[in-house]
Amino acid sequence: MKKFIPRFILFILPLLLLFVLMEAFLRMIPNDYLLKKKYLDVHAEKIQTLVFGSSHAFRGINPEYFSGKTFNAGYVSQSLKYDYKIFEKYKHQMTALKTVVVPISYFSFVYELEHSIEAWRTKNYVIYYGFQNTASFKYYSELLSNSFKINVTRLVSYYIRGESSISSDSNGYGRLDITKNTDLERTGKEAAERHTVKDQAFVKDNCFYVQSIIEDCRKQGVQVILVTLPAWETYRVLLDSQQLIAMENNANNLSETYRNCIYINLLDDTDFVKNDFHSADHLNDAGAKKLSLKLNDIINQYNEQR
Amino acid sequence: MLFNSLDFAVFFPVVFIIYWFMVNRKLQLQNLFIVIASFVFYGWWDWRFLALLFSGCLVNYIVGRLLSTRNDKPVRRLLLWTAVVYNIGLLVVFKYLNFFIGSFVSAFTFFGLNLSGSSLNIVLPVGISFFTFQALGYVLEVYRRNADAERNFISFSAFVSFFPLILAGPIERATHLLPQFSKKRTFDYTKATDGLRQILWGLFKKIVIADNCAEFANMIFDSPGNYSGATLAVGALLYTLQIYADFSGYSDIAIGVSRLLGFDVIRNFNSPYLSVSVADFWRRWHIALSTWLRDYLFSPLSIKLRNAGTTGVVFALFVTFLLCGLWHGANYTFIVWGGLHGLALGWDIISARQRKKIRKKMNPGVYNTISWLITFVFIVCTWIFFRSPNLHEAAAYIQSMLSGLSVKSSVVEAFNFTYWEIGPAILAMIGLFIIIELLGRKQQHALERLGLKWKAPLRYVMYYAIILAILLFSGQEQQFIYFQF
Repeated sequence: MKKFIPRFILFILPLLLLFVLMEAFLRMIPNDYLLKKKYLDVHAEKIQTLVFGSSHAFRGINPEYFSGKTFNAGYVSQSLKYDYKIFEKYKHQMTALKTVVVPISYFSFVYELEHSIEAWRTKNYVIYYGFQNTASFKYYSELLSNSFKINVTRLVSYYIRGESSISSDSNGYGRLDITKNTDLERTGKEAAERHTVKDQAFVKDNCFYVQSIIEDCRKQGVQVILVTLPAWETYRVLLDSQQLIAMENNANNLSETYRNCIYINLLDDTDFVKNDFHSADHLNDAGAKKLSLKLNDIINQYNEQR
Repeated sequence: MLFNSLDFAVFFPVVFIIYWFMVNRKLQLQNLFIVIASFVFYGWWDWRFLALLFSGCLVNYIVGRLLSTRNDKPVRRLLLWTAVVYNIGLLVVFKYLNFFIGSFVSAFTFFGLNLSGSSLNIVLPVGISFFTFQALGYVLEVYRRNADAERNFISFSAFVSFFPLILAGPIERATHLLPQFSKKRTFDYTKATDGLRQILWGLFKKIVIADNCAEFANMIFDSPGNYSGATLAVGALLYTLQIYADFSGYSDIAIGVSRLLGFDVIRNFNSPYLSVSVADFWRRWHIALSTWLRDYLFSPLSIKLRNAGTTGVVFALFVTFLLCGLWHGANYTFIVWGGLHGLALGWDIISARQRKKIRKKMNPGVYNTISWLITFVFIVCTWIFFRSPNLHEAAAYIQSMLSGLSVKSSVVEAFNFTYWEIGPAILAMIGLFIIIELLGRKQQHALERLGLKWKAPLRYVMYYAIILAILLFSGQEQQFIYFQF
């Protein structure tokens, strides 16, 4: 054993060193999570409208078209749990806050990031936002959360090719790469399949997260807008009617329970035409502008009524 | 907990340190620690089944103790049957009940009688086929007086629940592993470093070869209608590689981990795809199971049928392999797979004289090459039954594969699939794997001697290269195939 332990340590030392260096360099790559967190740390008290949600909202609601100071805190695959956690973290700092927009997608109530195919993204909330109550220790590390190959690719992409991994602008809006082709038929089918979940395990928790946001907002005199974003028909027609009705019922129940909450369902809003979509369930820049202006009108109307 | 998971990467070093540095003074304390670690390891998957594991230890321990105190044959036989019914009963309830209900209802429907049978929602406890067979093997050895009944319950529980082996074997023998729990274990540097090499090679097999082959084999087996005959043959070959790399990789890790804890565990694979007959294959593939079935099923059965001569032996073989198929899973595909192997083994016996005559007339090298080729093709084809979800799909797969093999466009499609989909990097890894396996075919594991005579820096470069390949080719953690059995 006297021989084994030192030799083994000597053997794994270069590997440990490599891992530590990779972890450090991975953490130094600027990313959207860090950018958003830093923005909220510095500007939270100025924000009047705060937008949450997954990629639907991240790429569908552009703060640029809102009249008050607005920030999009949503991100790809962000679940209601993390909307709630971000709100909890900054709620006391956001003294100018008037409206919170919580997008309710078809999958929102049945989806939880840590139990999805995108679970690896959990590390971003643990490492960069500092939310530490996660089940797996691997999410405390950049290196352990992704495959080695992906990590090497990220390092090469940033440090050697000089490519940026930032996709959000200064207001947190996710600008789309407009050169990418879209196939509304294919993306509609794939997204509908991916978003249809029979398991109801997370419904209760997700209702609790939204309810908690609304409840906290009520105490601070803040309006909450629950909104289902527009989607193209190739996605809509393939949605499971039971899951869709359950989603609408949950959102309606919340808006009926709380006076500071309204629910707007724009899923099949005819104002949005084919050219407004990047994929069947994501708006493009033009669609985002249309939706943002629409939401801004609703917010202004509500504020005037108040 | 999977061997290829981060959880195990943390669990095992902790166990190793406590085992050798904190509880190493007293043997019983060390054994108790193995039991605790094994229950944690098993409970990590689903703690509700810990009671099942504990009851398995308790019932077989009591039966063993009672067998050691009784000499009257009827009572001993009753005790043996108690253990058989208990262990096989567990398997029937957890593994086969739904299958039997379904088959029963289907049989009645076939004869025009409509029965309504509702299937039960039973979760299959991982490793149940392995630890029940290990425990049952112990009772059989005590019954036959080949082994002494273990007096110490902790040692016995450590033997049944030993965490490196509990999920997918190798199924150890009471005569081999159990006495090791009664002897003081001393740390052996050579054994430990060899164990580490075996773990490294096991991880390479699992992560680099099996998981990458699985990706493309799944692609083909999930929609065989999309591919032509030659590509289906590529799919069958990929699955052949996958199942070997997966299961032998698991066995290598299990044996390596055991060696780090000071235990010697039986070898489970011995270059099975180099077999020159199906009988030879079963001497090299899943050796722990095939010897278990030989000793506790085939031998007693063939003795009972000895008056029937060769027919009796062939029949005993066929029954043994039907049950071997059923052991793998509650599906007709496994039964047919086992049945085909049983028939091939029967043919081996029946045609022994004729083959001997042919062999004398032929060049031994040519004869062996032809024998190897026939055996390999048979093994590859039978894996199609093993992998397919049902018999209909397996038959359709084989039919499409055979009909399209000679079509030029099909061969071109297979080449394109191999080159463009699988890609040169994975093909290079598969090539490297085959070369290293061939070089190490006479050793306990492929890395046993490889590089041992090289200078240390060069050897370290080899180890780092293997680690780098494991890291670069790893994707999502994949379960080991044999966990489902």
